[in-house]
Amino acid sequence: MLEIFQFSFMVRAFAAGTIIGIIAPLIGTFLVVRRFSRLADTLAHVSLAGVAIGLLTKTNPVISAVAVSVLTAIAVERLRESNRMFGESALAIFLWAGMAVAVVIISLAKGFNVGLFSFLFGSITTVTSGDLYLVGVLGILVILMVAVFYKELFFVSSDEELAQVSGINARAFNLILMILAAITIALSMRIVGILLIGALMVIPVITAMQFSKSFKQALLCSVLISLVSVVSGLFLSYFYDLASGGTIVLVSLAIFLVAMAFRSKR
Amino acid sequence: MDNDICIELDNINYRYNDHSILEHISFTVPRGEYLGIIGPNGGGKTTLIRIMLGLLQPSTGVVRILGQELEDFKDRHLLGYVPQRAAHEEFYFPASVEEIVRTGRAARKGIMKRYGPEDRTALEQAMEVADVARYRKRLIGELSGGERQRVFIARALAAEPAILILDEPVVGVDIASKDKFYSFLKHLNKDLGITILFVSHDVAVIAHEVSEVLCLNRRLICHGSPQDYIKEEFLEQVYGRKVTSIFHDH
Repeated sequence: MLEIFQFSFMVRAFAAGTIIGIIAPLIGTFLVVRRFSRLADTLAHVSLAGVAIGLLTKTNPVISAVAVSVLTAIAVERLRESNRMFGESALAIFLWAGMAVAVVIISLAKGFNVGLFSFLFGSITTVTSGDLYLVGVLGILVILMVAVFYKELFFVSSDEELAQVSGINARAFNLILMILAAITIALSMRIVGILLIGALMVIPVITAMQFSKSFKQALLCSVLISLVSVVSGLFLSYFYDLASGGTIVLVSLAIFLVAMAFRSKR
Repeated sequence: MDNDICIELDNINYRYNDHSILEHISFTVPRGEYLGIIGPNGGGKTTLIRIMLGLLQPSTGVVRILGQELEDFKDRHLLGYVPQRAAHEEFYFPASVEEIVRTGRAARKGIMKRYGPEDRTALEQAMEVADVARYRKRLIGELSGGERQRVFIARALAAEPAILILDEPVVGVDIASKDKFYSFLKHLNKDLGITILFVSHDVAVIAHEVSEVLCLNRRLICHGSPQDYIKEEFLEQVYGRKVTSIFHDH
C-alpha cells in the first residue's frame, strides 16, 4: 500500500492534502457556528473565475484564485456590514457573478480543458511543486493566524455585538476570518475541487458537533475527521482511479452517518 | 466630572429615517446605583442602552462613562452587558459554559495574549458568584433560559465590571428562576458594589427591586425613587393609558 509514495505526485498530493485536511475544518468550524456555511460555496465558485483568469493569462491559477477569492471575501464582508442586503442574497449575487465571469473567460480561452476540469473536481495527479509550496506557506499562515487570534475569533463568533461592546474590533476579526476562508478555499481546489470544497469545510464540523462537549473539542475532532477523510480518500482515489474530491467527501459523509447512528443509539 | 458618576448622558437625541426615537435625554447614574428603566414598546429603551454601549451613534449629545467620553473610553471591559436575546434565543452555539464565561476575559487580556492564572481566578470567581460552576462542562445550548442567563452574567462578571447593563434579562425565564435572578442582581449591587442598569417591562418588579427608576417614552418622563414615580398618573403619562402596578413579594 505504501508503494504509492514512490511516485512524487502522490507525495505532493498527500502533503498538500494533509495541510488542506487541517485548515478546511479549522476555518469551517468558525463559518458553521456563524451560519456562514454558504460562504464556502460562494468563494469556491468565485475561485473558478480566478482559475480561468490564471489559465487565460498563463499565470499559476492557484495564485489568481487566491487573489480573486480574497477580494470577493472583502467585498462580501463590506456588504454584510453595511446591512444593505441580506447575507444570503449578497452571497448568491457573488456566486452567480463568479460563475458568469468564469464562463465568459473560459469561452474566450476557447472552451474547457483538462486543467480546468481538474480544478472543478480535484485531481491528485495535478498538484505541482509550486502548488505544494503555496499550500504549505499559506496553509501554515492560516493555522498560525487561528492559533494567535483564537480567543478573539471565538468571542466574535459566539457574540459579535458583545465582543464589540467589550472593546474587541469585531469588524477586523470578521474580515480576518473571511480572508482566511478565501485562502483556504482557493488552496483546496487542487485536491478537493471547487464544487466540493464547501463539503470538506462543513461535513467534518457537523460530524464533530454531534458528540463534542466544547468548541475546542469540536474544532480538534473536526480536524481529525477531515484528516482521516482526506488520507483515506486519497488512497481510495489512487487505487480505484476515482476523482479525489468526490472520494474524500464520500468518506467524510460515511463518518458523519456513523456518528449519527452512534448518537441515536445513545 | 464627579468621580462618583458612572454614566452621564448629556442631551442625547437620536433620529432614524426622519423619525425621532430619543429627544433631549440627560441624566446621570451615580456609582453603586441600581437603576430600572421602564417605558412602552418603541419608547426608546433599547436604543438608549445601545447608545450607552457605543453600538449606536447618537444624532447629537454626549455619553460619558466613568468620566470619559465614550469614544475615548478604553477600559470597555468595565462595562458589562447582558443582551435582550440571551435567555430566550435558540442558542445552538457548540461551546461549553466555561468557554463562554472565559470570553469575558478576552478584551481585558488584550490582543495576542494568552489567558494566565489571574484569568483563571477571575473565571472561577465569576462562575461561583453566578452559581454556574456546576454546569461548567455542559454545552451552553443544553441549559434552560434561566441557567443560560446566569452564564451570560457570569461572563460579564469575569471581566470584573464596574457597571452592568441588562436589557430585558428575564424574558423567557420561568417565574421561580426570575425570583432567584432578582435576588442575585441585588446581591451584585449591594454586596459587590456593581452599578446596575436594568431595562424591564415589568413595572411592579422595577418598583420593588431597584433604588431609582427612569421612565422613558421618547423623552425622559421621570427619574427618581420608584416610590415617588411608580404611581398611576406617571404610568399613564409613560404608557399612554391607565396602568395599575400590583406590588408583590418575591
